[in-house]
Amino acid sequence: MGKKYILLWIEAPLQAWGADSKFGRRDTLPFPTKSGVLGLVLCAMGASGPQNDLLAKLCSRELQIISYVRSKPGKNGQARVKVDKEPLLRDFHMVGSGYDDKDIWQTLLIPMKWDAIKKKANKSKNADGTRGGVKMTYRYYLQDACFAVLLELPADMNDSISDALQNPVYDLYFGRKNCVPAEKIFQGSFESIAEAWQKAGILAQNKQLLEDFRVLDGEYDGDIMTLNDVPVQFGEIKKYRDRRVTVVSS
Amino acid sequence: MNQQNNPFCCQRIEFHILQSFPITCLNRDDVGAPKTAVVGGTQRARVSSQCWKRQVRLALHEMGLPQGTRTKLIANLIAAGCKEQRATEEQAEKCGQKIERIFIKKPETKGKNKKAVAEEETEPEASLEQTDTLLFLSPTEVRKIVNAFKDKGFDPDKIITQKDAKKQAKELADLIGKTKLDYETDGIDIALFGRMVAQAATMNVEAASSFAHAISTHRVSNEVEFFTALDDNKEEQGSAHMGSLEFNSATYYRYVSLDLGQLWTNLAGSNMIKAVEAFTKALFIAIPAARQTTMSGASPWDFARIIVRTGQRLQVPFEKAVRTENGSILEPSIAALTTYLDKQKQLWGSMFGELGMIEYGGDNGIDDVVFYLKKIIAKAS
Repeated sequence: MGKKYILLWIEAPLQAWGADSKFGRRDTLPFPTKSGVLGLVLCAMGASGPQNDLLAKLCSRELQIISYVRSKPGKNGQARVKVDKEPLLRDFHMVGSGYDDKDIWQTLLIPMKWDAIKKKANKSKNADGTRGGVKMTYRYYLQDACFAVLLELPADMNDSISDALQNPVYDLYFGRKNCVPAEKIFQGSFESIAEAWQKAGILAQNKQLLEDFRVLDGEYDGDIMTLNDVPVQFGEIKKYRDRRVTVVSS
Repeated sequence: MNQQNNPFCCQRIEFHILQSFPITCLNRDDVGAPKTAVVGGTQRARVSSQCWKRQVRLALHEMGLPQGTRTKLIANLIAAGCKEQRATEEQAEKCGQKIERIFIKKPETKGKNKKAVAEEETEPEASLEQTDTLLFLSPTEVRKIVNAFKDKGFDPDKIITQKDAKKQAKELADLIGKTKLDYETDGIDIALFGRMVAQAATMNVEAASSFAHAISTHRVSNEVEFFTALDDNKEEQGSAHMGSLEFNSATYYRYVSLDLGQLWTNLAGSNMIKAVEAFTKALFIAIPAARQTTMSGASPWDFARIIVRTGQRLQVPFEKAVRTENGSILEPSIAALTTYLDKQKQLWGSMFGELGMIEYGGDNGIDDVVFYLKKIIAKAS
């Protein structure tokens, strides 16, 4: 009763959809997470903090994703064929290296522990002559990825969310703030899933993209995965529950 | 979600910058090679967002923000606060001066040039030039300091007891630092760049600025420079050292956006113009530091389109790698950038939400850009 579907187009040189990153290794799934997609919607609405009520209305809604890849012309005038996906990009990042802890201002930039005490600066200098604590991290990114995302909305929220996505309060990004969209995200709202996918098909065709796989909510024929990416609460203490998804290759 | 009073809600400044570098290794990965990415099926040179962001942040330190004024502002704020609490004119001034002086970084003297230092202290202009960037004190903190002074009869020496400036700074930090920080506490740089303190979320500030990875507009392969070093007093044949350095040369596309609504929130509505000016200038001068001693690459912006707009932010993908035309990679890059943005503006129509636009390069220099942005901010605030 009273369902609407919005179509989001998620395209950028770099994207990162972390579902279970820990410590210094920041992973990404090969497709957007539910928490990432709902985060995008809440960002657009300017809804920060825990947002339990809003999430309660949205987190069980259907989410379907199509992953696209680029294509090249087939041999002898055959149909276009898929181009292999790019490997994950691994970005190496040292946090807090090279700041001068003698400088009042620069000490502000040195990473702090949870109790807001600065990491104990080394008495001796680091190899590069600097002082202070350093944290090494690896961040993984999807390169050159492109997704169509269909999200079911309660009918009474369709307009406000559609408007917000087109005039977002907070910056919209794909998993990490440095992953900036390279295409219009909001691609319309639809009465049915079929209509939405039809629109996605046209967009993909214009961009000469071919469907690679789909991610469906629930269990179907295909690879079934359990993801802990359904946001129950954002804000300082984030809470998630899990869901089953099926990855269907095409 | 309380954005009703925010005159800058949903607005951002987008910087679309093209900047070419000769052989450099601006940002290394863990094996010392320049970072890369694949876009549109071709390998590109890359400088990570955090790398350039850090340099911009450090550059803020040395420019843009009128630091002298800022120090002075603090002295005045403290003095005014003290007067409000019924301190005499003289007491108030002394208290203000005391706080201000903590942040004035004196030149290294090592004892031999005491006279010069003494002169400098009596000459406010000279000492202001030596002023270091400092914590921007919020009204709450000023109140806290003033109250502490008041408790001790406005004798600043009873609050700030140490002689050494660094120890004084610590005393001051202890005085103000024990309670929840508010948004203004940490000044413009933290308002711009945010701050995350894991598990001490009260100290978190959401960044107003956001940087994408800088990615070359064209195909780039890293090259390897093999080198030998000779021993001038060698006893054996051959080189004393052999090594290799990886480098590349690229025209980067940098996308940076400054969320004005967030900035307004972080600064509680004050200092918008100063922050935008400082940020723009820092963005202009900051250059990644890696391997600058061996490969010195200090190229300025070549071209930039700066847009003030609402609507979803958008970077130029340069999905189709730019190819050299008439010996230039820059010219076709500019054409690709402007064509893409013009087309998007046309396609999005009113949803593109352009409130203003200026291009750097050609007729406009960075001062023109800053002037233009300041004008827009002033009009909106």
